[in-house]
Amino acid sequence: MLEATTLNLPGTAHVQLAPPHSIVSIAAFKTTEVALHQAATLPVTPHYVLGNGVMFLWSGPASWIAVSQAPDLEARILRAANGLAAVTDQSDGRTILRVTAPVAKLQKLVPIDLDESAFGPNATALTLAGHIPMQIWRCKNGFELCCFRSFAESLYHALVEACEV
Amino acid sequence: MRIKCPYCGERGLEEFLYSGDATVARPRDGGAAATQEWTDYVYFRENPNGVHRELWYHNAGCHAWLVVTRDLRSHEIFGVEAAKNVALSR
Amino acid sequence: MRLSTGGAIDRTKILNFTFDGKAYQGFAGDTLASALLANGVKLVGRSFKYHRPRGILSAGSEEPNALVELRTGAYREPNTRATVVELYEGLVAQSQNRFPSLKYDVLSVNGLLAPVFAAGFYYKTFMWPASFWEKLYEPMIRRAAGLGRNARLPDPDVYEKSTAFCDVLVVGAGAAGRAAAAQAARAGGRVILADENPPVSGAENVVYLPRTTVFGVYDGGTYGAAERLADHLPAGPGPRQRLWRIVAKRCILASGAIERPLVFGNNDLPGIMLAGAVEKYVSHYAVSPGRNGVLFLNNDDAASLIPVLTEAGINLAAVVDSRPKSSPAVRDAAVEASTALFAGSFIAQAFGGLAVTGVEITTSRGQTIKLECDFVAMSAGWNPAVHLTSHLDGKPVWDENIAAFVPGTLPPGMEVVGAAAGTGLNANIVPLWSVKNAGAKAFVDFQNDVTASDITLAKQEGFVAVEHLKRYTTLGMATDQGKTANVNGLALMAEATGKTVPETGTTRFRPPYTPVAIGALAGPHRGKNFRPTRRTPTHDWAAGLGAVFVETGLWLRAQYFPQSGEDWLAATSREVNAVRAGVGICDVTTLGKIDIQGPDAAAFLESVYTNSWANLPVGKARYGLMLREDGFVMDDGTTARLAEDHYVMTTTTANAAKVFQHLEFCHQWLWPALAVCFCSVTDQWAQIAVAGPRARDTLAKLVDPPFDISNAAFPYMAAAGLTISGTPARLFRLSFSGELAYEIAVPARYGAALAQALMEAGAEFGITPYGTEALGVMRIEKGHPAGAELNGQTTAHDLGLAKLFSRKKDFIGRALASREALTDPARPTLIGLKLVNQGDRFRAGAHLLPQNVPAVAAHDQGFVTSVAFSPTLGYWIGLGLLQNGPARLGEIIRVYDPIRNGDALAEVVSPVFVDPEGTRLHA
Repeated sequence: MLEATTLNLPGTAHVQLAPPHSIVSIAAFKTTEVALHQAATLPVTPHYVLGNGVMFLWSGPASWIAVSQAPDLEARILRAANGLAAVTDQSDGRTILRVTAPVAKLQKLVPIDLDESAFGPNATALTLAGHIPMQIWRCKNGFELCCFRSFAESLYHALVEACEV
Repeated sequence: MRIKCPYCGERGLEEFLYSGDATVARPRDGGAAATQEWTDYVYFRENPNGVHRELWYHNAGCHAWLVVTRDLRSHEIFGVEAAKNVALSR
Repeated sequence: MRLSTGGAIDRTKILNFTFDGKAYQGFAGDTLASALLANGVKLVGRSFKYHRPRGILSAGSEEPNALVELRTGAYREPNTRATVVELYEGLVAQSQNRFPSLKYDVLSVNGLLAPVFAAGFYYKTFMWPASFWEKLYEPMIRRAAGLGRNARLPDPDVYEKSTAFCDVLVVGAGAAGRAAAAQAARAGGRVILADENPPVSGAENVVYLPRTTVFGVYDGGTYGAAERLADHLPAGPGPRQRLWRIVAKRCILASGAIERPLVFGNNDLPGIMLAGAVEKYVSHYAVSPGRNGVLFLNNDDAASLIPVLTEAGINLAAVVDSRPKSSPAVRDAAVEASTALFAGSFIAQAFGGLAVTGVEITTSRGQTIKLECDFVAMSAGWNPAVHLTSHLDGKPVWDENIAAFVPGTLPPGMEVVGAAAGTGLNANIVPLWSVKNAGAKAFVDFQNDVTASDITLAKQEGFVAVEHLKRYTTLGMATDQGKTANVNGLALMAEATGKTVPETGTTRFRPPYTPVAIGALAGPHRGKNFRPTRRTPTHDWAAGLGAVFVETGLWLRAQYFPQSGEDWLAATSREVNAVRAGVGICDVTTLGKIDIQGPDAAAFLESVYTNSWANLPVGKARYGLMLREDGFVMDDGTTARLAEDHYVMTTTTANAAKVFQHLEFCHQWLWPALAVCFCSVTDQWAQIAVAGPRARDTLAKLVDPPFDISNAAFPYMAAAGLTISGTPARLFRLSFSGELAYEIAVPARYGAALAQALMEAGAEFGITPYGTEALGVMRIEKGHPAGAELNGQTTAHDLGLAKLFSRKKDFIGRALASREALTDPARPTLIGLKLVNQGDRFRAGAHLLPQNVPAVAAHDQGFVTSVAFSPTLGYWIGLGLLQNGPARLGEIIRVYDPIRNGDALAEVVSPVFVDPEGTRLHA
């Protein structure tokens, strides 16, 4: 294999680059639920479900992203989708950053209500961080933000400035 | 202004792009000639002093196209529907 | 002067400050205004037009007079209201709008020219002669305009922005506001309480934001607020202010009320203040505005000042009550204070030079009485602070009982409580909008120097509508937005026209309520953080080779790779030569890549592209042209068919997002029944162009067997998946340069390694990295339209691409592209240009005209769209759009560029300068 390059984004107290994950985009051809054989029924509202080491996050109408540390994610999902959905690898197209700062710091960048009452345990949302489009979800100790790889550096710097001051 | 995306919930204006009139329909004659119907579709628009139906794109969110029923004077929004659903029901 | 006891200031903390270079002291808890008054400083500014001496009028953010330049250097801020500046150690303030000093302002001679400076001055003067406008009048007006001076240096402070959500936003932390906040908190909601003043004690279960002005109400329950984090401290590194966007389900407005001045002669002299302000200075700041005052009122509310003055030992020479019989409240208070009461009387005018020294009272019997005094407290009643209720076009309504405007229609979700609703105000008021026979200028708008006679003048000249009154006199247009002037002015116009106040109307209030620093509106988005930057996977690799980068939208792309001593032209020419002679690589990741899948993918492509797609075999790519519905070219690219129902579309870099949006529009709105999905893979794949006669040889060393890269197995426009050192990759045989060329894509994490591997594999062939400049030169040499030609005003016909229109199907833009005017050959059409004098140079943007006619717009026949120095040919070449272009090959025309002093002759040639047969492509 050619050598892989990781983005040079050193972790700070509250902002870390997540280790590489497999990320796969799933989009149903018809507007119907696609039930994959992992027995995880895909969420039809902005939430995520966890099953068998794979996180399935709602990512738009009839769209999801699957995130996992398991290899061969794309192949497994392709088989499971059985021609009902477009399956596209996004493992290199997206980057995940982990933020463990207090919510008030993140609200400097994110224009949706991240309070527990509005953005609960399995919630996810497609929105902005500053001027950068991203998908955000709650995780243990904080939030994960997923953006296009080419924006990762800018998002990282914006998060560090907001969270570490 | 805030728009309630039927998928994402209420969001600020900065997440959306306005993209025109939802009350005009693309002619279905195949487009072999530039008829009056085609010119009207591309260029002519009503500018009502009141409620209108508009197309908005949730650009920084779920990328859904939306039909927004809105009073152009007060900006009050009366309804937001997925454009796909509106189009399928036509 | 400072009172020896009382007040809420902290007498143990002494603070040093300067005003106009002179050193003073105050206490913690003072404002700059209270500290100045404590030091006996009454003169704080000069008025805008007449340069009249001015003092402190109020104790709040409605202050029109006491505007100072605060701080120095880059931190200097003009027009800062001294009444809201919290005193801190080392504060430096300067008065404004005076020369050479406050005391000896030479421009006060403006007062002598007063008749000339009346309302409408700007519209009537400076009109003639017209030629004087640019050289004389405008510079004069600019020099005289404005009050304070801008620092003219970049703002050194740091600002934050944030969004907050709550159930209830309470605006104003006075009694009514605090009660409302507490109640809302008990009901269990999330409550934010914002107040423009410094903190008093907090409230339980309430997010309390002191020093925070809610400055605007916006649609959708959104409120703008500016929090002053550090303005009360010496300048430091932390954020100075924070801009809040607050989204609240409900808003309770408890903004209180603002007192109205009375309009009498010389009512603008330093020492003449609002009665409520005098009361606040005495009781809260332990400061007296003088030793011997007069109280002038028309309502009961102001009577509360009387016992306050008595208790502080300040003499009140008289109470002047314009109401015929005064009222029990005032009579009793005057008796209690042993103060003379003049009922049914008014102050006709005040006297004094740099401060008030006395007043002339006209009694109910018509007598004139002169009284000495060194301050005047005046009250014409209170105006509920209704500003925020009208930001969404609500109109306040006139309440005859209290002679004031109260909230009318409210923004959705807002309710109003306390004085802001008119509760408990203006007891027994009898309106007095101005005294008769003032005998001297009687001011209505202090900051813009608008007098009662200006309003009379406006009425005489026909400017009676309140919006006209405002603009003709400039009443209410200063930085205080007429907070102490609007109602008086409006009511005076009503009197003058014989109408009621409601009939006369009200002006609209718009955000911001008080000025907001532009730095706060920008927040962190300035300098390099103004926009995000997007980097390609080979960015660091290219930087390591010394690449110079160029911004293409949000992306940074390597523009050229200069070797030592090379400028951009030398580097670019070297790169072009290296590609055409051997092989070069260029990162093309930024071009939009859209993954399109689905049973109806082909049908969808047919609908958005002008040409045919259904017959594209798997494993092949095709150039596609995309129009807008009005028939003009929107974008172009190549789309490859990777499998039966799987395509990858490319777009130009600039239009990637726009095309994606367009595809989603076409699918969701126009053809929702089609089964097709789109996914942006621009970032997923690092994509590198490998171009030149040795491109195949280079790649052959890298592709894993059994992949066959021979010309026969992988001809021009082929597309395939393969592996490179075991890494999944995609290979496309596409050429933008006109050379034998490929584009190779690997998942982005391998992009840098791929570039390195290509460089190693191609070393023996002289492989050279090339940037966007060389890319541009080569495509111009080949006559390929790019951004400069796809400018949104060109059609397929203009670009010689009309052959790509299918005749058999509908596609976006088909109908209107067929309009006669869009297919007229006389339209400017794509051609190449070659200077007659080959050593010369020309530039894009130059216009094309026939020879031997005057160079005027009537003879304009087109313009130059792209220009490059062609190292392949050894001279400058260009592409342009010329009327009837293709029919004029060989003609000599004029290339005219008056802005950059260019004027040359050029031959019209084919746009394809290099390898017109296209033999290299198919090598």
